[in-house]
Amino acid sequence: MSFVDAFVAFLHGPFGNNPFAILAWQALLAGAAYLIVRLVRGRVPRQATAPVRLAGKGASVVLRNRYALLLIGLFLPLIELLTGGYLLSVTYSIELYVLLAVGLNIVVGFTGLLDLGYVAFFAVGAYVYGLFASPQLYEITKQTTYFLVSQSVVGPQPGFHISMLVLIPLAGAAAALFGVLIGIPTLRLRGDYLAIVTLGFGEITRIFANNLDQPINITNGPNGIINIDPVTIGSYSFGNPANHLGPFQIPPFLNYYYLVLLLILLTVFIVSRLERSRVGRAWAAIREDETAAQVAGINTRNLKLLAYASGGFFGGMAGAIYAAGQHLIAPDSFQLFVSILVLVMVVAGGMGSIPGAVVGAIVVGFLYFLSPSLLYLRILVFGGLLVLLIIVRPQGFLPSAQRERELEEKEEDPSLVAATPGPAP
Amino acid sequence: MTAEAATILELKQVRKEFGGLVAVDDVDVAVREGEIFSLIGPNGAGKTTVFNLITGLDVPTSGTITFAGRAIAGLKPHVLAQLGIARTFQNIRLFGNMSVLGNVLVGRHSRLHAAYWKAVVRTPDERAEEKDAREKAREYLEFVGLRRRHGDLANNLPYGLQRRLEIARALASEPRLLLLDEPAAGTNPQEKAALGDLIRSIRDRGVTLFLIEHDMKVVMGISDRVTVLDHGEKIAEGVPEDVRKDRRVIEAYLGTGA
Repeated sequence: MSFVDAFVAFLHGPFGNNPFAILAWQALLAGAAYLIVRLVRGRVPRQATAPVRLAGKGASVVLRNRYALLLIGLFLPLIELLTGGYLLSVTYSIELYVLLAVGLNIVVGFTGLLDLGYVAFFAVGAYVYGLFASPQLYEITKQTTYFLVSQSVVGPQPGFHISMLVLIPLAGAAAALFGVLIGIPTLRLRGDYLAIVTLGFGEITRIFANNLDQPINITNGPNGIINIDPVTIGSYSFGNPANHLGPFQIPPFLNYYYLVLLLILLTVFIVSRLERSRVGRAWAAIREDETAAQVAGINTRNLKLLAYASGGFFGGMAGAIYAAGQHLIAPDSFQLFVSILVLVMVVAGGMGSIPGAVVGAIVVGFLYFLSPSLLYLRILVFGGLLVLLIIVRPQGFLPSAQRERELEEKEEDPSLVAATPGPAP
Repeated sequence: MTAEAATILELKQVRKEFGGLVAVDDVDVAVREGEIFSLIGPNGAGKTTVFNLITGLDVPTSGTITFAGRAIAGLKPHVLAQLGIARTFQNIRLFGNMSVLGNVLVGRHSRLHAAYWKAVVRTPDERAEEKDAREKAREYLEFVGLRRRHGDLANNLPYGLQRRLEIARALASEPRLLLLDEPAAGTNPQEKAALGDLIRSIRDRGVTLFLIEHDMKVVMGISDRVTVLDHGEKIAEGVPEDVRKDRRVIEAYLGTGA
């Protein structure tokens, strides 16, 4: 048994092939490793001595350790590869959910607009990518008088095949526009009413996709769009299973994993800057008291539409990558349950907190995807865990750190330093 | 207060009906620049509706409202904030889960102009604007005596301080006219006295004040002029001493004794 084999077996753990067990084992290893490192460096984790500012505490722990988390994000898939590809595909799916959760958090968490139709943005992004990176549009033009026009866009393969550098932002932009269109008729609705209407829009979108094979076949109906191009950079195709780096084979999921990781970093960067700007404050004000926000000078109509558009943009980009990774999309992939799952992630993580949305998506995602996959049992177990979560920690894992962020400029303000009890020396 | 001071806000024959109920009945009010003007009246007299009409939360059924020479009836609240009208609410409406400083920064929203993308790129002008906004916000907190509480959640402030925070938030938009809706409601006598001082010092900064108040003592102590509203109708107007003696005012407050 070579050293590599032994290492793989070690990572695989003693609990058999159940992915849940493997993950639990690896989490145990990671925890142990973390403790050992802290002990060696003489810094045992200790209870905070300052009076607790509970809100935002967990979130700031995540922020402080963000580079460590990034390292885990970079190397986790490599470890998962050694233990077989299944965990990697799960992790990749969860990444897409992270993107969705960060996007939905803008709408639900920041602005307080309860949106139960978020999957619509995901679908719009996926279909935009699917249409412009597959032979589907060629199929349409064949049936219509625009046949001649289509000839001019026939490249090596028929149909459009636009670069992902254009298509992914385009899919985001289309979903953002869609967000504005959904937003306009719902501007005056609040709370439950808004939730019901957005739920309706989500379902309408899916049913549209299901039926838009007539009179002109745009979405190919329930069969969906097939033969969607993988993401390609130059001559490097993300979808090619024969890619090698030296002796190592690079599975398609690994390519997409890193692409989405990059996108998550970009998204978190953009969204956290927005959150801390006048735009983010205005969103929070609308969430807290819409009337007072108006009187304080906020154009609530525009800012609500901006929230829908921003949330839609990131949802649409996630959809585009999903379409590229799957090679095919069908209306069935855009069920109401996706909206619910993303909402649960946002709520479980702590509404209005970006680290919360990320961690919520990861935790809930693993719980969901790795719970026993007998169809109904999975949802049962998942539901039970949610009930437990709501009882034990209703504010979410990592509630918003708004106050702490507001306090960041303390070096400018000596009165605050004096007023804030520091940790004991 | 000189007689020739310009009128900054004028309501002419303003009427507001909700269904069959006349909340404000053809009221004329003129507020002069730089004064402390009070609108008083018993519960249900239509005072808060007057404020809602001025700040754009309600649209008058008929009549005109002029602010600084411009007809404003029917304009949106955020436009009116931009023009220089700010207000507080009778039942305090803070952004409870935001920090004290955050509340004041929201109040400053209409004076900030950095575009969406600038906040993402964090351009030098956006940063300068944000820094300036924070400095100004701290000044307003200092002014109302809340500087040391700026990191607290607004919800965690005691009631009296919440009222002051609401005033600081309103001042942050640099209004020309500040409407205070029952600022003394629920405060104790010491707080009432301090409130009077605060209102005068706001006036000294060049802001015109328009108060709605239930509490006669507070009003009479600080107002330059007073208008009395009863059942949506104006029943008296003048300097506090005259209004206090007005027979109809006494009736409205104490009843006719029939």
